[in-house]
Amino acid sequence: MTSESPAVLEQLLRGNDLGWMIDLYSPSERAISELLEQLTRLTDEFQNKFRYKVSFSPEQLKAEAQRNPHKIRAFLQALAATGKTDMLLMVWRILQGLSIHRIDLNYVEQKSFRLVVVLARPGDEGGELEEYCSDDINDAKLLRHFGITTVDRKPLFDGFFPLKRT
Amino acid sequence: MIGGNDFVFGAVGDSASLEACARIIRRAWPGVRFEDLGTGEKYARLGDVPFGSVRELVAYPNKEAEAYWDADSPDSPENSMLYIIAREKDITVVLDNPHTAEMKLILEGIQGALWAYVESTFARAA
Repeated sequence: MTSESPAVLEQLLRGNDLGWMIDLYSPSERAISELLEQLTRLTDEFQNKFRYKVSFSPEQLKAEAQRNPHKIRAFLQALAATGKTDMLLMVWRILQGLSIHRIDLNYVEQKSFRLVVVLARPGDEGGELEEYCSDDINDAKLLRHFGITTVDRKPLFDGFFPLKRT
Repeated sequence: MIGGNDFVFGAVGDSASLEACARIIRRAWPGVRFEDLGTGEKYARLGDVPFGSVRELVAYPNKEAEAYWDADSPDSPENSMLYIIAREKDITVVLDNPHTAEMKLILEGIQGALWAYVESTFARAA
């Protein structure tokens, strides 16, 4: 992170109709710093898990937004939806191109919630799968971003997309 | 020469829709190669394609097919290239023969993915 990071992040959020993440946060002056901390944790966790570095600094997100605005918009919407590093990693891995191999959703009214998303590397049949879990029902919101279709009349989730375009 | 069967899908013709198409094509063609027709840049991985600046995307099933097209060879096999054009309110897919099992699956997948994205865009925007 740099001295410019807070301003870049605010610009990214407001530019993607997510200014409310700042304005409605309490206290609002802490919103950006909390989000920056979250992005730093995400950078660290990504490196721990995959042994190579992907920076989630606002500057890097802004650079990627030049190439793929829909990906950064979708990612920032996910950032608004969840505080879980594991879920944000899952989102980023889909944005990187992984396919959604399996989803298990278990919910019992007023008792339990469990979401498991398993990702696969396309073209790597039999390869290592990546599993991401959450016990927070709010993370069900992320499922709304999954691309939905059928191929050969069989169900397919593929991709992670923004909910509304600019 | 590509045969020129055009399939026009009502869509949000943005970068996300293009990526949705590319993902479906990659499923059918695991060795797919992409080309930005505007710049001539080529991409061996879906994650490398800068969808934000691409309006016309070409997909080849593999390196061999790409080489045929690069050489402008008359021997290019049928359905060895898909040409996707993104406009504001539609996505057009151009291909040789839509009647093969493979192309039917690709078109089904693209149609479903694009429509789901239209719904998620406009239903929530309303």
